[in-house]
Amino acid sequence: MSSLPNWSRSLGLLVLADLRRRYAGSVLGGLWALLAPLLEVAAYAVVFGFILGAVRGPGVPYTVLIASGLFPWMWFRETIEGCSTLLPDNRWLRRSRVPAELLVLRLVLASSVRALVGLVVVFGYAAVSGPRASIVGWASPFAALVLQALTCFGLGLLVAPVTTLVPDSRPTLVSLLTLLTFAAPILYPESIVEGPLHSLLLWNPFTHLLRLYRGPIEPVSWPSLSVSVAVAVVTAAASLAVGMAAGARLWWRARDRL
Amino acid sequence: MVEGAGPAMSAAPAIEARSIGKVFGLTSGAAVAALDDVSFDVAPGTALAVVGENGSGKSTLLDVLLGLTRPSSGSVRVEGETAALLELGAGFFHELTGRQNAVQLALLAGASSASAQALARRAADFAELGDFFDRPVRSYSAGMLMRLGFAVASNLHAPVVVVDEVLAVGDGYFQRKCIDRLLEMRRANVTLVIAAHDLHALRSLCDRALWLRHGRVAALGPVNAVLGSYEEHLLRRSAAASTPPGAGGTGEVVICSVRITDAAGVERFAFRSGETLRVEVEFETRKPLDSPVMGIGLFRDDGLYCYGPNTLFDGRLRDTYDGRYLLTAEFEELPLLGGRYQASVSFYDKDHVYAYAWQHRLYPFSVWTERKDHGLVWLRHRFDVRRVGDQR
Repeated sequence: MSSLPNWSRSLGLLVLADLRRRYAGSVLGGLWALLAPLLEVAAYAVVFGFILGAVRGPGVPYTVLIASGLFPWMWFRETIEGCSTLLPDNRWLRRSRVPAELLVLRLVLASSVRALVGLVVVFGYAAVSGPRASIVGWASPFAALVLQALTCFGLGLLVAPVTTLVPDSRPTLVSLLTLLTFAAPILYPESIVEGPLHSLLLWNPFTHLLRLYRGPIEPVSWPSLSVSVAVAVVTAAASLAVGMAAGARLWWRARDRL
Repeated sequence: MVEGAGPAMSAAPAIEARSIGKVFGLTSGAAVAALDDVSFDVAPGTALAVVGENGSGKSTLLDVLLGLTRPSSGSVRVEGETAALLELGAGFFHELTGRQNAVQLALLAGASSASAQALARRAADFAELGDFFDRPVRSYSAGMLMRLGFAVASNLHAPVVVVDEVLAVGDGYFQRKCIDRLLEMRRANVTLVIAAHDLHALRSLCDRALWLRHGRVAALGPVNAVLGSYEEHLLRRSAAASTPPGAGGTGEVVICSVRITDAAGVERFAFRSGETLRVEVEFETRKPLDSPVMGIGLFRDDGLYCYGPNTLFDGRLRDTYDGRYLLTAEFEELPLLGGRYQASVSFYDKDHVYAYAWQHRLYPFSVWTERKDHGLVWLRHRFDVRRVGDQR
């Protein structure tokens, strides 16, 4: 929207302030970033893994599996939900020159703490359980991180103005995100899904991102990994293109609506 | 943005607005025209005052100039960078401190990291916020937000500065400081656009003025001429807004006749300031009434309410009334200065809540005076001068 010679500095300042606001104000401080999502993972692990005993089998322990999937998903969800209230929450934007991109990117980066916690779990387990993955497997979570950030950014640029312009789009989006939690192998291993249901899973880009995130603990053969990389790259590029083009145009209209 | 048509006579204008229109679509599907065919130029280094009543499109116009919203039609061209002081707190991240916000805004305006820090220091000096400068903006009062906003905007060194309505917020000391700074900018050849309700300040700050009315240009020209006719319009409007002459009430009292007389009881319509004026009201009650509140109001011809005593406030004539009576209100030594006036008469229930009968501004009279004093009334006064301190 505008030329910003000092984008990165200004962004860094904002992300730091956001993180400080989220975590520094409490007694436990930064621990909350770890503790709150870990509790959620523990709850799922107890319900599905222990009480229902639903997921048993060889390979990665259930707790590690959902941790590796749930954390990146929380990042996505938090960013998109955050973008859906971005404009109404910041009405002062209407009369400010702070560019939209900056606020969306800030949200993407500040929420990424969640995904980083997920990575720590994945790498921690992979290190303890003995290195089985290839170099590509070890590197793939970082690619996933970057590609998810770009996807979130693109979609966020679209979501923020749309939820302001279209009535009822926000609650719809929130319910959709809840449903989507089950549309990718986040809480269950991809391997237990078979047949046509599995091909359906493969249409979900997040399934492919999860393969990349779980690279170090659930090594995937190179051909299918390369497909996942390709899907994730195309998704990120498409989100960015749509977000930048449509988003920018809608942004002006959304501003006038504030 | 599209270039405006036609070269200016001397230097190219700093701001060139051509037939700007702005229509806001509402969620209901309806559309509201906030601006309609607004054109003007602002020469470099001059100041334009933007006036108009609330909702006349001032803020939308400033937003269009600053590129915060896009015009629906027409074009605007602004030469060089702009700095803006709009709504209080607009553009501030509320969780950041004043200093961080100053740095942030400077960075966004394209400053380097070092010069952004320097700007924050200058803003701190100007704003005089003390420790608050390093506290989150969310803890600021309106006056402090205004100080920070002005301090940052005025230190960005932009060639075009736009100020909207915020000057009225600060305390008197800071307002003067802001106006001094704006005058300083004028000397430094900064182009200014200022929207405000303080016409006095606008007269001293601006060369030209634009009066917006319902989104259209009502007048554009030299500041004194435009503000003069705007002021006149405001006066006329405030007169029209006051209750027009008329009569009404719930009917328990009937006002039979009203006469304005002098001390001798002779009906008169013109009085000399200082004479006795009497209002005689003959009324009849429709049923026994307990302590009705009887009042007289004196209004100037433009609707200004000059004086309104009643029997409740005076604590007199509290009694039961049943039948026909003559009420007399006598104003000894009428202090009103010259002008045309009207009297009102009213009868209320004992709690002064609803009116049994009222006749508003139906009885005109005029006052003349040999005095040259200005104003509405003559007040007892005395001038005195005495030397203080030693003679040098």
